[in-house]
Amino acid sequence: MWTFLGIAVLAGAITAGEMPSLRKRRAVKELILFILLLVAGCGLYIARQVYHATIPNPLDGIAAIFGPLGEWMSNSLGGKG
Amino acid sequence: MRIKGFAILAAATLLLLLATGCWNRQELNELGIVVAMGIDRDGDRFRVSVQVVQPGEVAAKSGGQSLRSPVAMYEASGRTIFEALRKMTTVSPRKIYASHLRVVVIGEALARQGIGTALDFLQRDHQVRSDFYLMVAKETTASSILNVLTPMERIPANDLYASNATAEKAWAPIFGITLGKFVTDLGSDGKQPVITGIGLNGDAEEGSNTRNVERIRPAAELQFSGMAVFRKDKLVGWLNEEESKSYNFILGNVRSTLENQSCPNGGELALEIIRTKANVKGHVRRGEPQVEIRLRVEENVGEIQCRIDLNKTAVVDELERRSEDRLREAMSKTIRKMQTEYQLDIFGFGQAIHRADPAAWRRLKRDWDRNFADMQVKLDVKTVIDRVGTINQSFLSKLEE
Amino acid sequence: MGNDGKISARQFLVLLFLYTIGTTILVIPSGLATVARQDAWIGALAGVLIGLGVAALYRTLWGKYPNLSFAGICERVLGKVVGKAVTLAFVFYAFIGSTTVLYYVGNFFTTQIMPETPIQFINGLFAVIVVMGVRMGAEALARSAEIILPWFIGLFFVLILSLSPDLKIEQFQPVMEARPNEIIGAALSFAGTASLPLVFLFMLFPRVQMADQARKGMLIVHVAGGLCVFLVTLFSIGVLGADVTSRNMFPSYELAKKINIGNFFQRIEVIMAGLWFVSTYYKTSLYFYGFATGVAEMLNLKDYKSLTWPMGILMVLYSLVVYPNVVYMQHWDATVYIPYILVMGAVVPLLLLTAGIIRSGLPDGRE
Repeated sequence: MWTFLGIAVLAGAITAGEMPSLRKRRAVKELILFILLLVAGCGLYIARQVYHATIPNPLDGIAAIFGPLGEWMSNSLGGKG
Repeated sequence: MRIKGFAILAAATLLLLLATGCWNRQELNELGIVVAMGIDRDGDRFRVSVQVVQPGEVAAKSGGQSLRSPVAMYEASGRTIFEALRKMTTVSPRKIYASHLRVVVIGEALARQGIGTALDFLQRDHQVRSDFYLMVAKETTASSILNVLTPMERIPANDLYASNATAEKAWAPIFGITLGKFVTDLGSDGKQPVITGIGLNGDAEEGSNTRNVERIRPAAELQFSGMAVFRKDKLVGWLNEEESKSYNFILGNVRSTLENQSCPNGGELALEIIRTKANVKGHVRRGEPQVEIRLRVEENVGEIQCRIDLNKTAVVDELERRSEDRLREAMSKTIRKMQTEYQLDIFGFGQAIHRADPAAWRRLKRDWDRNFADMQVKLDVKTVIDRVGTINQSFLSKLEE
Repeated sequence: MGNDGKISARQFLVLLFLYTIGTTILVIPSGLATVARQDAWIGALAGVLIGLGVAALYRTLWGKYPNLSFAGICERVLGKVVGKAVTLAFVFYAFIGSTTVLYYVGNFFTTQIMPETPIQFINGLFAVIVVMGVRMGAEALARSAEIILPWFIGLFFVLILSLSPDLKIEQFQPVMEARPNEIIGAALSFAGTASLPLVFLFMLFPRVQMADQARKGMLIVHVAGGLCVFLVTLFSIGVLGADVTSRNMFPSYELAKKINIGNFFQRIEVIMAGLWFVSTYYKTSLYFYGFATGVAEMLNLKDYKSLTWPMGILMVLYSLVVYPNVVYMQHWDATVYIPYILVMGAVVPLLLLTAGIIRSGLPDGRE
């Protein structure tokens, strides 16, 4: 409940702050991206905090790529990691 | 324009929501400021006692004679220290706030069983700092120690703290052990830890009463005794005054102290030690560990109770020599006791060997108790007597005439 | 290019200094002591040396393309398609960097000072200031750094001076007991946090006026920052001991707790925490700056400022996602992070430099 309100107010404040300048400059690309990012950010935040959805962790992906090398490096260079 | 104003207002309100202190606000009158903590064994649980400041009663002056004690004591049992502390809220009106801990006392019974498990909380908790002294209650429980009101300091924990800090500088057998020091020694293979001992003299019952401090001579007193010796985290024995003194000499802990000596012609005199410098150097010769202790002591003559002619330098030289012999003998006696009776390296000789020859240490440390017991220790003591006080010849030499 | 102002060479160097110290000073001493024990300080010194080489690499690359940001260099050297791909990776790295550093900030606060506060609020509040700073542009960030620097140095000196009497030489002995591979491991982890992230400053480079002067001072300033961390490591070992240093999550905070002058000047460790606060702020801000400007350049936007608030939300959100708990953090930082940052911090710049040389000759015009 409070999170929804909080996020709504936040999004509203940000938009109110940025909209005028974006409209004035007719910055279409920026506007689209702005809305995109804002929706993504707020949406994901609510998904996580309110609905406890699991957001995929980019670090897991990175670990999948670099993990083996990293483990080997850590073990041969001092170990206690 | 209006929208901008509204946006600013909204943003400001939002920012208020980010006031992050909200969850961790501490109102002063909700804090139970703990100055001393005692830990004892209670069956298979810990019995934790805390000495909490009663703020109104500590500030003297106003209000005249106060009828309450400056500190209150709460006790609770729990399987973990954390549990016991939280459980105290069932009797205490305030939550325990541990940042002002000055002293943690451990009951002897618990110490003999092992105190390692009790110490994790003290390291892990974010409120607890690391500048308090550890003590072991000798032949009593920690809660009895905490239960005594002290004359000079309204808060007994401060008394214990100050006493430890002062004694450490003025009386060789005592040295303050902080949690950090204990844990470091515990984790080191080359030294076994020790803790200062504290004992209760007199009537424990009377000690917790304010009457205790209403008289000139309190009925119960807290007094430091010698150092407690640990094997890892279990208490195994006590050092007496002489042995504690030697221990602190070897470690270079002695700031100033006094040393009694017998005069060449019978009688006693006292020497005030003002500076000591100790150096423990390890060697490994032919695979055998050896340690050389170099001790340099500067002292003044403090009190003369015999007939001795201080005008002669030969006499002073003799005193120096006797002092050296005495120190050497005391130290080697203590070392030998630790080697034979306990097989416990409390002096850090292992660490000295580690510093000197890491490769050999890796081999020796596996069975260090045995190696320590067999190792050779060389003592090199040098005493210098500088001054003799404000008078030279004692009037005692005139008495007999 | 950027409509967020220019920064002077001196301002750049101040930013560089604070960025180097960044989170290194908070998290590194513990790891070094775990790996190298009482020789952690040697590891730190070796790390500073590695940093010297890394900074020299960046300096050369910068000098070759003084007016281009990282995205620009990628495009110039690798062509449009590959260049954009590498820039995408760069931007991703910068984002991850800002989220992880934000987590460190929140983690520090909730571990040492305010455990009951939900971390998203601390991160959120901190992020607001970061976004504000980045939004105002490089010039504002640099000016604020200039103003804060004397305080930082002052507090740092207080720390070092008041603890000097407590150094115990035995804590360092026996010296060089650590094996070479352990020293290298320590040095790598040091450089991975202090030096390799400098690559993200590449978005800042074109904003710097009198860039030659900036480049001249770059190496020394970076080494100076590294030496500050080295000093903290040295003191951690000398005052606390290797055992306590490696066991503690924030040994530098534990170190600050020990300051006690005449039983009067004591218990000031939270003021000292202000030091870490400053350095981590600039690290987070510059990571975020790299991310925002990188995105803007990649998509040919006219300015990045309007996007900063939404990006900030994403940053806070991901700072909660990225490290599910502290144990994950410690493991990831010690293993995955090193090769990961080596790619963007060392391999890619080297690649760019060599490809650039092949294409158009050495920086000073030789073929």
